[in-house]
Amino acid sequence: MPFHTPGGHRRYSIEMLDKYLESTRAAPQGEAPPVERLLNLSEGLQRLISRVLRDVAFRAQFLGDPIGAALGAGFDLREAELAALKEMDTQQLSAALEELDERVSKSGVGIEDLAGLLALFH
Amino acid sequence: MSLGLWEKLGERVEEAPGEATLNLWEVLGAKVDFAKYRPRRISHYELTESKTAQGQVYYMLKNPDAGTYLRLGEQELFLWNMMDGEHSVRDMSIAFLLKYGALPIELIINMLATLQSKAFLEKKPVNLYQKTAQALLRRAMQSKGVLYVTTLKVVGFVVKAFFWLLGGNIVTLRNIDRPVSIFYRRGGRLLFHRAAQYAYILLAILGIVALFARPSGSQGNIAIGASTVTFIYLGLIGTVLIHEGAHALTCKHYGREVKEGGLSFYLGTLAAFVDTTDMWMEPDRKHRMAVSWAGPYSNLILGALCSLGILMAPWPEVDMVLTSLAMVNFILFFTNLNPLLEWDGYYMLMDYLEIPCLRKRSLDFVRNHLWGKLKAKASFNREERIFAVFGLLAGLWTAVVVVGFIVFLPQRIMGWANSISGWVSKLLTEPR
Repeated sequence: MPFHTPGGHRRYSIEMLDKYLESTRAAPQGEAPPVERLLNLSEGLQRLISRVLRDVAFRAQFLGDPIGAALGAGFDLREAELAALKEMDTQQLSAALEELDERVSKSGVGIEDLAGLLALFH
Repeated sequence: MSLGLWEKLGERVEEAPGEATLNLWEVLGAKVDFAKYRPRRISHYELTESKTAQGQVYYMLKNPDAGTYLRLGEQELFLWNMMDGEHSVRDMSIAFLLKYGALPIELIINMLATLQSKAFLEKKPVNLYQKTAQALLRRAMQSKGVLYVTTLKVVGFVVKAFFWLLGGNIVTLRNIDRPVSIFYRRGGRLLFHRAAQYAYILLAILGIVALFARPSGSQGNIAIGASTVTFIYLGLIGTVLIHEGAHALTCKHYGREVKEGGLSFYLGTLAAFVDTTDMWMEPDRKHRMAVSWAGPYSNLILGALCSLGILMAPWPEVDMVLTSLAMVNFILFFTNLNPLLEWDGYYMLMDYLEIPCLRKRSLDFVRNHLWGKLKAKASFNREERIFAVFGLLAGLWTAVVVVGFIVFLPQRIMGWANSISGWVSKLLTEPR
């Protein structure tokens, strides 16, 4: 059950929110979620990704030509995996991750402002 | 006798059989292999879903223990959900490739660094710079002598004091959420009643009319007594408290936490503050803007009340106090809406444009990208146009204020001293 804030707004617990988010991104029927599909991947693809993550020079080569780099380095990949690499988007992903400002409201009236104010009356 | 790390390691290697030495390298290899790193997110966090005006979904993530916040997109949320200490970076990359058809290498590297620095991963961040500075200071103390180190410390103190005057806290009250919540429940919420809202609008209109309808020179030439000054100053303190209280109560009205409050310096001026950063967790940007608007709006209403009070002032001294307070409140209303410094208007503009860290990102864009793009005659997208215009204006305005602060600092200090001494001497000599 959602609870209400002092302002009368509905709020949900983290568990409810997690459950909701999970349900919204559940894989379509018949399609295994990506993490489970990892189990069916070839050893070759897993080693290839490890090399891409570890080796900066190979990464640049791979992002330029994924299939050429993978086959050239001798990785043994299945046809479906090669097709996935062929369709891979090699453009830089646009990151939506953003840091947020501290929202600190400030207001002040200094003594010198008061002095200026009083000077208006003289 | 204590041994160094390398001596200890050397002894272990000599003692251990060959196979064990090989395992050590394997373990070390696994430790430094980024692909095998298994990030674990913190277990206690808060997540809210929100939408931009264009319908783009994003998520706000909060670490309630560290008081840190981040905004994530759909793809980052996917990676965040996999950071359970079970999946390696390689697993996450492959899963991401299968779902989104792209390898998120840069994304993961940047995301892990940001999550680490904002305490969203179980492995706590280390303040490397502070530790390095301390170690360097200790080493300098040993090699360069006490005089050199003392000079360094004095210079460090002066620099710190300068930045403190520009924007440092004097008093910080960390547990103000509870009293603010109690005040809200025990009557403060009535201030948000629809009838009260209509009354504010009516008051503001009548107050502005009264200000212009007021006969000029109504105070005449009267002597300013210490009691008049005292009342004006108490009124100013009340104004500041009401302004900050309005922010805090509106934050409570939308069910969010007021993290802290207190006294600080901002660009050399003494200021009260409340921290309503928790409003980032509020999905509706209009509510976030309402919290920022509440402060200046309270000044408008207070100014209007004082203007109406002037019409009924029985003595010139009361007229003077109310006129002063009306003027200050109307000035505060407008100055707080200026978005070029981090006053309330800035937060409102940032929420309206839906660009977090607008100021920081705009100044960064002007410093690092603007001239290059202008030289290359490249086109600007929506964000870049905003960054260019806002960054130039905000940079210019800040420079004017900081230079003004430095140039007029001696006069300000003399002004403070004169005001206080004049006030005290009047208080002592004024007939009662």
